Amino acid sequence: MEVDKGKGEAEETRKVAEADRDTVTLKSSDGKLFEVSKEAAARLSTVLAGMIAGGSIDDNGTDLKQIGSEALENVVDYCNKHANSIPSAALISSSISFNTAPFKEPEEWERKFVDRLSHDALFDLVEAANFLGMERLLDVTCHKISEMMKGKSPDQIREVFNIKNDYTKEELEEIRQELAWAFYDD
Amino acid sequence: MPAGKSHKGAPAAAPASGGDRIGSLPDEILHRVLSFLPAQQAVQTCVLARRWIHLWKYATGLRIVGADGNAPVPFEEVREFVDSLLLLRGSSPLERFEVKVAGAAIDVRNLRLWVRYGMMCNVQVLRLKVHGNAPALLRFEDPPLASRYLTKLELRGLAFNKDFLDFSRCPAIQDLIIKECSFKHAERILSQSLKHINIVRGIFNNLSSRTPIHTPNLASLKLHVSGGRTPILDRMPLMVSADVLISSCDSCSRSDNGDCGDESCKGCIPNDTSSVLLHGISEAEKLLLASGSKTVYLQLKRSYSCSPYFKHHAYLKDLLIYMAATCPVYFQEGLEMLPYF
Repeated sequence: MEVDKGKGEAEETRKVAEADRDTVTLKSSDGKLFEVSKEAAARLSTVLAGMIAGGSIDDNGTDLKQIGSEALENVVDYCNKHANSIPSAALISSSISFNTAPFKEPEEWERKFVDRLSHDALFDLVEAANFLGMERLLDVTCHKISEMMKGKSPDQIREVFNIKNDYTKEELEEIRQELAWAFYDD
Repeated sequence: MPAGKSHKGAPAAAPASGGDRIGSLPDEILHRVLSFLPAQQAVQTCVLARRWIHLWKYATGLRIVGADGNAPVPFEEVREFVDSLLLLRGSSPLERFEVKVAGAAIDVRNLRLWVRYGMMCNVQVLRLKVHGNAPALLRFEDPPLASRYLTKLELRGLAFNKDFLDFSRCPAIQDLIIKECSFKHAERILSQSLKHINIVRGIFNNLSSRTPIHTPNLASLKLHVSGGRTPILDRMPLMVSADVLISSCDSCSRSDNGDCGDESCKGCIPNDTSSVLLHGISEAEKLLLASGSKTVYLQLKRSYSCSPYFKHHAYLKDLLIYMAATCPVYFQEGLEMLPYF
């Protein structure tokens, strides 16, 4: 009983120490460690919020086996930038202008953040954001992908994203006839 | 963020080195990607590859806009497209639904159906922007909306009927943005849940009554009255920020100081303790009042000096009273008001 009690207390102390820290350590699939603001991680990722609340955060680095170090670095970078940025989605704008930003439009810094990524890094980040339940980062990255598609012909889109057209010519013709209402400007 | 609107994403568009990364993403992610595209292009992705054939039907957003994603699209050009699209996508849930149409012969019956469709799909953010036959506004005669999902509503270019702006049956709505619309036939704006209202170039009733705004949980108000009588604000104790710009000539035909002496005159402020605006905005921390009209200014001044609210004002941190540049004389008078605070 005594031993158990002592162990319980030690556990308790460790948990309190953890709760006091304002960062959490995350570990990528290739074993690299990253520190991220606990507040931002909990606010931006439903998965990390759940782990922090459930006490399953490991001081020596919480294993995120599905996420490579480059993607995790971008996730952490995004969280930390978010923690430092002035929330422009704040309730109040002091501006005399009566304009409001469109719903969910990425902020300028968020655009810059995704614009600098390579093609593969962008998709790695989408997958990481999806895995971690990061709604805002998913919106920002998906918006970026949509920008890469916007105004392009199907052929151009296939080229940008390396999509193999696996339709036969006849099938394509059939789809176009069925959905003639959607191809009215061709 | 106007600069962001014209942004063209480029660097990441370098051709992928490896496989089809986009095709490997889960369906829900691709539904999200498609939600940001103009609807016509979203549908057309069905020809990319078999992977894409049905994805457009589940896009979480629908944008009926011009091909560039921003400009309004001619109504005649999209009417049939939208009707077919809505029929084929069925009732897949929608987070965002945006309709931005232009033209001289917009059929309001289609728009009303489209709005009802959005409600049926539990839309959270609804935008209906009509760039019609200015200055005539499209009379949007529809019963009030009812949805427990709607959180944000943005409207442009419409003339409302009597109870359309009664949001009693939209308990989650928080944001209301109304641009270049007429409230002449609107009896009231009513909501227990609204937190932010932004009315840009609103045209109000110019005859007898003032439109009441009853939104007791409002935190921010931007109100730009460009025609008719300034609406009358009910008490809004949670107000943090109010910007009020009155550029219409809000006066009784018998007087230019806000009180013609006739007790029954609905346009004038009947006595020293009542006011048009102050019940609503007197608890704001940030207040900006602007006007280009002498009459309105006089009404405000009169209200301030008499108001029991402002005499013991503990919240106000930032007050800016600003007269439009066309009336520099009144700015001088405005300075005289400041000692009241």
